[in-house]
Amino acid sequence: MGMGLGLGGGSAIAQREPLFSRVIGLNLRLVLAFAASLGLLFLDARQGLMAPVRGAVSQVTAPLQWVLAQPFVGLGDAFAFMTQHRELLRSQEILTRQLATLQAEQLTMATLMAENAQLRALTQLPLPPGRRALVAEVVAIPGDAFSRRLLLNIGADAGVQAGSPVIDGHGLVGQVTHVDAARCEVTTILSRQLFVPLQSARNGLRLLGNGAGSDAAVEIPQMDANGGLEVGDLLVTSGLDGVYPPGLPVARVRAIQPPRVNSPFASAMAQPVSGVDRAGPLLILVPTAHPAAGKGAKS
Amino acid sequence: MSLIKPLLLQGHALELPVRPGWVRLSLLLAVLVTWLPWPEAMAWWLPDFLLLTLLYWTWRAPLQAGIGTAFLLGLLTDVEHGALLGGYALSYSLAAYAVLRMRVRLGGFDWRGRAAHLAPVFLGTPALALLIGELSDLHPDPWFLASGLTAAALWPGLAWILDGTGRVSSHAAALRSGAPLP
Repeated sequence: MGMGLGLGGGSAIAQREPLFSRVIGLNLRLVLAFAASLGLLFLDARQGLMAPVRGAVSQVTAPLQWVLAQPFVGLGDAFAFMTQHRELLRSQEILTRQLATLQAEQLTMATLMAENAQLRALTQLPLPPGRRALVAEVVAIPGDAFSRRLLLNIGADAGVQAGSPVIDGHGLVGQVTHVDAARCEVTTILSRQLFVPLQSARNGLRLLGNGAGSDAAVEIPQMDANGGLEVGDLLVTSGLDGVYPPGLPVARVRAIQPPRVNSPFASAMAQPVSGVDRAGPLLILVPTAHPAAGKGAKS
Repeated sequence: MSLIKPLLLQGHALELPVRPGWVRLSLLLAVLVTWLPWPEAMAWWLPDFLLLTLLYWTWRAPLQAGIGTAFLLGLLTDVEHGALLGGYALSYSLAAYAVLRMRVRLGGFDWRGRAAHLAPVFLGTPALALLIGELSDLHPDPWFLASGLTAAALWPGLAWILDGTGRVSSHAAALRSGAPLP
């Protein structure tokens, strides 16, 4: 790394210190490293340097990481095969039952949607932009202190766009925040920096929620103490930001914290309704230019 | 202050020159270890193997792994985390600086004393990176400070393993430096 300049190889033991040192001093090196780091932090904050750099670096690192993961995938598969046979049978039974229910529900859903479209046309309301669902699987769960993320197995090649909401069969899971050619990264609603505009399904109270970090929970850090939110209320997306379509179930209120001393705001904790910390197929809701082409899932 | 001076002060057998290729290879291996698909539940206390290896070589072979190396590896960690470019680069650089500053002093202690000297560095490095994240409104998860504790606890073992690797034999070292053979 240029540290051994003018020293010839690594054996400095028998060398005398030169009269005029040509090596950069330790303090100056630290200052240079600090200046470079702070410059990068500044550029990243101002210009968003991280996304292009990450895109370029992941071209090299993503295949390497994939190769590294393979032995463990095989091990995990073998282990799962040995131990989870009975569990699979049970889950298949449950799934078959669920499928029947869902199929029945889908029939009513189709009629409801047609009716809804007719009603909207009648009231001259503009239709919200259409969404297309892409089915994705979780391939990795990178853990770090900054966010709770999921790595999914499809990317820009399959039509994934950054910013698309991600759901599972029960509710909102998160938002696509980074897209590679063949993979994409989802920041889940458990992340502390992901804010979701919510409303209470019971009384329409509008709130802003964000993830609670290590707890598998969504918190509402600030809300009106007399707003009328109650334990057990279902929180759904309000659609106010234009990112999440309105009405997606997000979480169920678990506890309400009355205002602390010197604060006018109450806060609340809510339990996500989606299986955000469980494995399972996910749907990415990608906006489509032509809403008529609702071809449905594509794997 | 020059980097050469502390090297001249060392006369211990462990201060035999280290093969630069092995330093680079072990750092690469440390990067690959951090890239293994560790379970998510472990992430908050998983020690930073890259930082451990880096600081070992900063201590033992400062010409091969100094502040410049620390800065570049910190950048790699930043890109891997994908949150903030420059946060880990800054904290790794500071960690390498701290180790270079106490190099000579470390030589006067046994492994327990050295571990005690280095523990604040291992605790402080993730703390600084998380603090920079907090100042940038990214609200990192404070539980990840625990990774510094495990790194400090793991240090004596890793240092013991790396002590046994990568040294040029004393015979070859003598040949290279031109001193009379023992």
